[in-house]
Amino acid sequence: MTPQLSDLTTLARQAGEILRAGYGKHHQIEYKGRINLVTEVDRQSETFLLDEIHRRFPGHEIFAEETGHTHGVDGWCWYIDPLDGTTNFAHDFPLFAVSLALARHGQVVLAAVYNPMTHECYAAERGQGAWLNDERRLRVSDVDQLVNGLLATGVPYDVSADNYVSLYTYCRFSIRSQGVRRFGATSLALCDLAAGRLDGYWHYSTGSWDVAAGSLIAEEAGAVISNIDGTPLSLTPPCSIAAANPLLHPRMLAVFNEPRGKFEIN
Amino acid sequence: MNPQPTLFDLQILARQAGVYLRAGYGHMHVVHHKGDRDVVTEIDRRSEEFLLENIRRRFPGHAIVTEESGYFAGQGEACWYIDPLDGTSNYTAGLPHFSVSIAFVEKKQVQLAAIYDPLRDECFSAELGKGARLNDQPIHVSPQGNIQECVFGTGFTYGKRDKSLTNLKNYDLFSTRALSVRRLGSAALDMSYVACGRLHGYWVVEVAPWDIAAGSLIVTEAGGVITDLAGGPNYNQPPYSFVAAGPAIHPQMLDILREARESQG
Repeated sequence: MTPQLSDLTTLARQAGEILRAGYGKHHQIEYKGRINLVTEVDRQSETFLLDEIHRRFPGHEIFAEETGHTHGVDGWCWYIDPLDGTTNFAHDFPLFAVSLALARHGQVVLAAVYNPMTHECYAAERGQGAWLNDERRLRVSDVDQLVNGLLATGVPYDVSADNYVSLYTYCRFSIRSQGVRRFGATSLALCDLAAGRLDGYWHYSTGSWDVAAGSLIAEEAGAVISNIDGTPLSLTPPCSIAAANPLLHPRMLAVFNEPRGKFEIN
Repeated sequence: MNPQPTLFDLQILARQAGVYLRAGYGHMHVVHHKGDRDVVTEIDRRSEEFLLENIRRRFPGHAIVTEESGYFAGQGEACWYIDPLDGTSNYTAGLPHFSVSIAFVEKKQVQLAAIYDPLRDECFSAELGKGARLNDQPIHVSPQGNIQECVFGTGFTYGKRDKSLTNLKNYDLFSTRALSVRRLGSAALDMSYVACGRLHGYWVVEVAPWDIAAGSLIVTEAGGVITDLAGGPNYNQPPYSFVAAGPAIHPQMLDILREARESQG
């Protein structure tokens, strides 16, 4: 059976019901790393999604944030983040989402990102466009100068070389743009880019399940998506993504490539 | 031993089934003409299939009684009552008032119940002995005891014309004594509204077990009283007629029902 976009939006909304019902309650928090959290709600949402996908689409390969990799046989592959923005969720900060992407022979073809607190469901089908709540066609902004752009980023979990690069890049863009937001949910930031609310986004060293759905939604809304070095986005982690409207994307890439200044951390 | 469901499980299941109803309701008005019966049937079927699959997978061996597909036998005494779309006529007509109703019964007693209104995002639920809630807030029936101040609900069973005629007499009497009588079209939501005090009481003639199960626990856990139309305890057996209300107004409702019976000989 061939999955439809409505299968992804329904699953994302259903997993979102678990998040909404669990929001604001006391959680059992575990630490996967110093600042990398997981709650029982992540697991409950992921178990639900895995069970439903196995039942309805047996044989599909799955990459999921909490349980890892399930091998498949027929060229379909799911990227699942059952709760993108776990840190927000665990702190009762109402900004998090369910992110689902489905790839066919390595290329993402269907995507859904659902924010259960605002009931916003973003979805895209390759070649067909991107929508908010099945109705509003999404389109990126036409801001063409960094100084007029509102950007967002995310910072890697592990304190590594990438983290320092990420932070001094943050400084550069903060000085040259209208501002850099850091919401804590990559999938939603990419959807904000798709909706024209943000003009650009970058993230060093993140998971494929964080970017797979949002990058198709942004791309179908007209964004240009690449690795930070400008090559086509790879979903083999760690994923380092640069996404922006087509006018701003080359200007962002130029900033990543600038030599380090004397005041920058190294 | 099989895993036991929690109230959270029922709340989630009702909410997740509600996703089909919410999506279908919007879709119906975008793409199809209002009143497309096939579309409603398909949504009802999807909601039920989802609930059946998830209950069987997670609670194997439990019996399930459903509005659409009937009875699925289990191995123990645990039994689920589900109505994947209560208020089908409203849904078909495009009226935004319908729900998903789920009850879990064990030891011949409803233990857990959840009723979800997907358009208002209201989940009414109850656990035996632990009270009733609307989303996360505890709810209680109204203390109103003055019948002239009361807004009641009732329902008329489809395809049972003679019973509807009987109930018209009740309707007539209640209408003249109370502030108003509503006929909202979803028994599960009517009982939920009694539980949170939006309705002061509700009565209905000859419904089905899945119309009663979840709502009855939510009403009683909210401090309400539910009896058959004569005031006895046998409301949860044929003919499945009952009156549910706050304790202050329930006896007066029974009086009116008696008066209606006597006036018809």
